[in-house]
Amino acid sequence: MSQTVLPGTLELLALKTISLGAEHGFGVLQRIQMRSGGVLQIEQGALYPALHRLEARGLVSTRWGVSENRRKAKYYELTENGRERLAKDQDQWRSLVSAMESLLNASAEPQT
Amino acid sequence: MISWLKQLARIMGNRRRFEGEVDEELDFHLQSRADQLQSASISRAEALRRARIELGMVESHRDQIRRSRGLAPLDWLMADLRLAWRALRKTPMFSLTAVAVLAFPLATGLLLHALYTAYAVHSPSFDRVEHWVHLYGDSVNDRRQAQFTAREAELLLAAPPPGIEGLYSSRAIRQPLVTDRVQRGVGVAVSPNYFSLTGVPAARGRVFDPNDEGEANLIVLSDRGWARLFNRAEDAIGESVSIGGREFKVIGIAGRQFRGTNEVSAHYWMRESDHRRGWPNDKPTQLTHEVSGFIHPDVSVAAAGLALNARVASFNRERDPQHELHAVGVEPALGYLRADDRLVLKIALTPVTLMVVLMLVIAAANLTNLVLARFSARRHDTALRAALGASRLRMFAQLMTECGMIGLAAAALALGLLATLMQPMHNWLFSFMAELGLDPISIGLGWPSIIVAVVLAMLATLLFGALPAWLVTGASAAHQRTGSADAALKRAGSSRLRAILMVTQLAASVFLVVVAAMISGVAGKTETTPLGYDPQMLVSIDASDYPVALSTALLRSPLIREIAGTSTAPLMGESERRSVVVDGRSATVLVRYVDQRWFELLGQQPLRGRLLEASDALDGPAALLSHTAARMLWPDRDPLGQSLRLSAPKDDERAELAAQDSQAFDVVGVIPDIASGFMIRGQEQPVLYLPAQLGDPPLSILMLQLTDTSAQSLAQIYEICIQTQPQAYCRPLRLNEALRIQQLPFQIARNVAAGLGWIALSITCLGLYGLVSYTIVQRRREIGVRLALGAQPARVVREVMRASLMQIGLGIALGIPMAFALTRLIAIVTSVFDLVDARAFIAAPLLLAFVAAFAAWLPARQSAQIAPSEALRHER
Repeated sequence: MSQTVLPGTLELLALKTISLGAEHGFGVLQRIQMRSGGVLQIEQGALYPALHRLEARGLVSTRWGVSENRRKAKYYELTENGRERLAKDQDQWRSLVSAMESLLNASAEPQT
Repeated sequence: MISWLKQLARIMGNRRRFEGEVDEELDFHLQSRADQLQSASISRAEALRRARIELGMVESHRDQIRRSRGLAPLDWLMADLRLAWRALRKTPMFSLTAVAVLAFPLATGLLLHALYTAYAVHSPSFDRVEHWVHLYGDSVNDRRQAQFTAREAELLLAAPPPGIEGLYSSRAIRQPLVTDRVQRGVGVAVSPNYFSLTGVPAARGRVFDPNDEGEANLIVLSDRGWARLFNRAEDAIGESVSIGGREFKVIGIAGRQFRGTNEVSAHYWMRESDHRRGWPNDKPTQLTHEVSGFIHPDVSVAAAGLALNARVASFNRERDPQHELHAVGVEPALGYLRADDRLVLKIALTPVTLMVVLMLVIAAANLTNLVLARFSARRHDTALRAALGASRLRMFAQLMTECGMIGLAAAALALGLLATLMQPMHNWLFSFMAELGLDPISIGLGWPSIIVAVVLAMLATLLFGALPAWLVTGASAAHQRTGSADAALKRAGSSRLRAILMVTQLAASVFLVVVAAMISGVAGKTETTPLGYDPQMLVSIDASDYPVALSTALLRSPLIREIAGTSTAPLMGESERRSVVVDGRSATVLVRYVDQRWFELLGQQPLRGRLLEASDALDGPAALLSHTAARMLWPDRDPLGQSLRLSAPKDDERAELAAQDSQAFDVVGVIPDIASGFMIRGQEQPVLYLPAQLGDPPLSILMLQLTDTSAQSLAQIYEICIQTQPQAYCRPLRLNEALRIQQLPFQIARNVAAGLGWIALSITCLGLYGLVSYTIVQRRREIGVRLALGAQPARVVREVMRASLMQIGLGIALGIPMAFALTRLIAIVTSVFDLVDARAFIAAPLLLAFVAAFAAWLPARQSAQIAPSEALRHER
């Protein structure tokens, strides 16, 4: 079952994917879909503004290179700022998930 | 933030490359996805088609990317600027008018700002200028004194109070400089540490060294002094200059274009010790020395002042009672004016600033009208944009960009005008100083002026642009709902607003024109008042030290035709005001002591009785009255033989005369009025002439009638004076020069006021012309129908003119009381405007009404020339 990413999480996903190694926009998209087992579907047009926002904020740097299909491609790499930001966002996300999890697992308390 | 701005700047610097890279990146995505799809045995064309569908609208992605980079607002701005530029270029007459209308008041405002900054804000180029302070004393009657006695200055310099790093003293020198002619030179006698403490170096030669008191009579020249005395000759160092009959050697030229610390540029500095040697006769209680210095960075001005206050008692022991202090303090030094003078400058500039603000309001009201008309004419465009989805804010921003462009162009024009005209205007404004041989400090445009110009222009833009833009965009938004932009505009009240704006600016113009006419009338008075004597060959000279010896020496010169003594130099200030008691009534008169030759010198003949004679000074108690004084004191009686009693003089130095003054004086004659005080007060002054002879303390001025008043002749008079009384302030002054000095400030005030008045009038007429033209364009169809139905063209013109004439009438009706209230206020404060000037209150508004009506009639008459058939075809 595939589903679109939660609002506000696309940048975190992109940062994490780029942290695995320098990648071009199309590659980032492929990696997210592959690593999520095809569950997370990214709206293709939304990815590029998100990547440019990360670049504008200095979280990723870019360089032009040649892709595996021998085309000129723009590669994104994580910067030191990006690495710190990713760590922070990951922590936030995990605590959010854990809070959600404990709430969703809660069962009715026995009445006295 | 900084790195984001850097990126933004980089992108904006090479926008094409950025756009190309975005295209390449999106294309790479498309091709890669197509490759992927093609590998699943789909044709290339089909794969590309599917990839495009998956990617979605590329142009929308591009927009999103631009937005994520913060480029969208810049793109809007650029687009708005392009649109605004195109719109303004399409109507060059409107654009030029709008820019000029705003530029003139802006330039005037900037000139005021530059003047204030140059005098009151810019400080000399000292090393520690932020710690520069002046010392002052507060007298018991709360008058601030910038000067101390020589002894106090000496004590302060020897032991500066804690918190002050060092003090220097300075005192103005009034001695003229003599080269081939007598000229006013501004000199300053300073303590030897003056240059070392302020850090001003020598540009050539050397400056004073506090440890070198060896050689006497040395001076350092300022750049101005070097130019004036030696025409910047390279060999000026070592040359001699004669100051007050003594020779001084030039040892250097001060660097950094340093011109002293006062509003008038210094030409030379001498050491205090040399000044004391040369002019040792100063009274020990005279307040002559300014004391300034540098405060320690960690000490507050208030703390330093407190430490100084401990010395008040010791200062008071040696002071005259009227100069006793209750406090001594420290004030931060800023600019070339002391705190008190800065306040005076602010007060002096306030009315002019108000006039400039009023002009800006007129300009803004005018532009609002023009812009409202212009935007209303474009309501169909705006409505179309609104229909296509443009938000009201976007349309508002676009219209405001157009106004902002006008504002910026006006600021640029104002700055350009000032860059070219500021120094000549400053020279003209202060030309009376130049006539006295003084150099005002120079002024220039700097970054603050540019910032002020842009800020003022933007404020004016908001003032004139926001309302029309908001109304028109509101009307367009309403048009979307109701389908009628015209109705919406009407509901927005734009035509009523235009009428209110026109009345406002007419009222403000009437106000400015009337005030200008009043000032012009006062200035005219200084020119048209007959003196009652011929000033041509008359020269005054101070003779307070040895009047008899000087008079005897001068009489030996063939240049002298006649000499008379007086207590006040004519045209150089007013005589003392004193109370006289006549038949139990008290009145105020001006008292002038003269010797018997005064009347002969001025060519005055008695109207009644006789003139004063030499014996009157010895035998007393005879007095002579001016015609006005006689009429005032005895309105219905013959003044001859009447007696009057004077109140005691205010000046303690004349206490010895009190006994004489308290006697009754018999009136022996009446002479015609003459104008010899302030010309602005005219001739009609009550003057009481009392007899005295040379050698009596009140006769401190000699009036000379010369055979020739050329510069060379004055130099000869000066030489005689300086030889006879070496300590005195010898400066022969032509009466004609004194007259000119009195008239100049009023002439300048008149020209400034008239300039502002004419600019206001022109702006208003321009606005009226534009408004009527626009009204005719709007009513073209209606006028066409009326003409087609047989209306007389003249009647149509009258109809069109009626609204304008009502606005003109209302504007004048509002403006005159405003002007009346202000001039009454000035009259109360300054006693300058004695009467309600009929010319100002009737002629000036009439002139304005005529010019304004003509400005309205010019476009109105076109309405009669409208061809009905053409007008009916005119698109609504």
